[in-house]
Order: sequence, then C-alpha cells, then structure tokens
Amino acid sequence: MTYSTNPITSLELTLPNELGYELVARDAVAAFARRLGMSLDQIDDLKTALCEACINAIEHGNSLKPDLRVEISCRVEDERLVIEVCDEGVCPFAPKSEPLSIMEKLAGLGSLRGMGLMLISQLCDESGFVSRNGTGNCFRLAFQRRHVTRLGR
Amino acid sequence: MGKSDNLSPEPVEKIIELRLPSKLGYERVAMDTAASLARRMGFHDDRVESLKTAVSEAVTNAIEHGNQQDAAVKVVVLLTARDDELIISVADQGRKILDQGCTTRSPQITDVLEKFDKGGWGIWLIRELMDEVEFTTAPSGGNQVRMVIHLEQ
Repeated sequence: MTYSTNPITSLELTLPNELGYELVARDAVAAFARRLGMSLDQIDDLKTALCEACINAIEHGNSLKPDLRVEISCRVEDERLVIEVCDEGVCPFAPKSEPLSIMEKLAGLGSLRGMGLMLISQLCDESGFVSRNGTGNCFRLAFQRRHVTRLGR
Repeated sequence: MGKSDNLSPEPVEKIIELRLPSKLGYERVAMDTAASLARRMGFHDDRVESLKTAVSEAVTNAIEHGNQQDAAVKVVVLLTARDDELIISVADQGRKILDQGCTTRSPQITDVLEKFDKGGWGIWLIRELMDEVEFTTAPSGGNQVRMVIHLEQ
C-alpha cells in the first residue's frame, strides 16, 4: 500500500542524547498531534510509545554517549501520523529470536526491563525498525488518526 | 599554572532543534517544547508563562512576516539550555526582512486604539518578558531573534 505524504505538515526535532530529554520530545510531539486534531486517548498512547522509542535510542542505539543526537521526524501520510526516531547507531539493533513474555519475566526468568518494543507495538497501529540512508537505527511508529469527536454539535 | 588553567570552563549546554511548518497554530508546538524544557530546568511557573508568550510572539512573527505563511518553509527554533539560563533562537527564511526600527520602538496605546489593526505589540512584549533580546540575521539570511531568560536559583 502506498501513502501520499503531506510535505508541509511535518516537524523535525533533534535532542541531546541524555535520559530525560525524551520528555521534552514527548511534549513537542503531543502538541503537534493536538494541532492535527487527534483524540486525547490516542495522544496519551503516542506519548508513552514515543518515550519508549526515545529511551531505546538514547540507551541502546547511542549507548548513552552524551555527544550524540537523537533525531525525530513527524509527518502526515493520508490519515496517519508517522513518527521516526533515529539514533547514530553505536549499537545496531539486533532482534532477539524469542523474547520472553511478561509472565516469564514476572516468574524471574529474565530482566524486568526490555518490554519497550512490546509496549510500543500495543500502543501504535504500526511499529518497527526501518532501513535508513546512512548509519544508525531508525524506528518508525504510525498512528491512524482518530479525530476528537465533539458531542452535542 | 598552564595557560589553559586561566580560562573559565566552557558552559555545559544542551541544544534542542525544532523545525516547524510556517502555518499559524504551530507556534503552540514551540511554546510547549520550550515550556517543557524550562520546567525541567527548574524555572518557576510564572517565568514559564512569560517564556511561552515570548516564544509564541517570536514564532508567530516568523510565520506571518518572515516566511509569509508559506507552510512549505520552516521556522527553526533552537533551544540552548545552560546551567543558569535558557537561550531561544527563532529564525525564518527572510521573505520579508524586519525593519530594525521596529525592534526598538514602543507602541503607544493611544495610537494603536485609533488604528483598525491592533497588532504590533509582539516585539515590545518579547522585550518586556525576556531578560535579553537581540535581533540579528540568521545563517539562512532570514530574520533571527535571540532571547535569553535567566534561571534564578
């Protein structure tokens, strides 16, 4: 399926590679999503998913190196909001063959961390790493825009 | 003591870059991003509100005048967080170059009341609300306003 991108309605943001700045990104992208008329519930999901993706980029992709940057782009494709979170790829993403389930983690079979990607996948309509020109990991999150419904009008 | 020991250390700074469409309404993205960073830095609520107003005026000027509301070109907002201050730089593409005379004049309320257009308060407001304000030319050749707000401990 191909989507037509609106090149005008786009936002780019770059951040220092430091934990905590994902909250600034969260507030910037939430404001952008509000401008697009997305519902508050969906914006809440977006905020959580974006924070998880940024933390992954800062902690893993950029290995907490303070001189690196995280780039975030947001664009509108038809009725979707597409967000990409890109790092500089100090540590390329390598998928685990069989990630542990929540029950296995709770049973003490592995770290209680490492649930970010699973959480993101539950909150977005589409998510995953995409290939990128140049170096670095690029993680894409897409939301089918559900507009605010106004009652009584 | 070596020569380098006499130099004061470079201030630690963290930079966030935001590129927005030149479309009225998107100044809110810059306002929320700046407010989020300022709160994280420890600014009091009243200073955060002043910052939001100043950022809103600066970005609105860039959208309306500097970029002539051509949504395809971007307004570039740089937020530089230092230990004791936040520097906000707003740059446009200079479709209309700012008359430097406008940057120092204070509008008179009696004159404004007689005019149909009640605008023209933005630069005056920015000067009232920020600790330092400077109007320069951006690397792009457009207009640039640099605003500084000091963090009082």
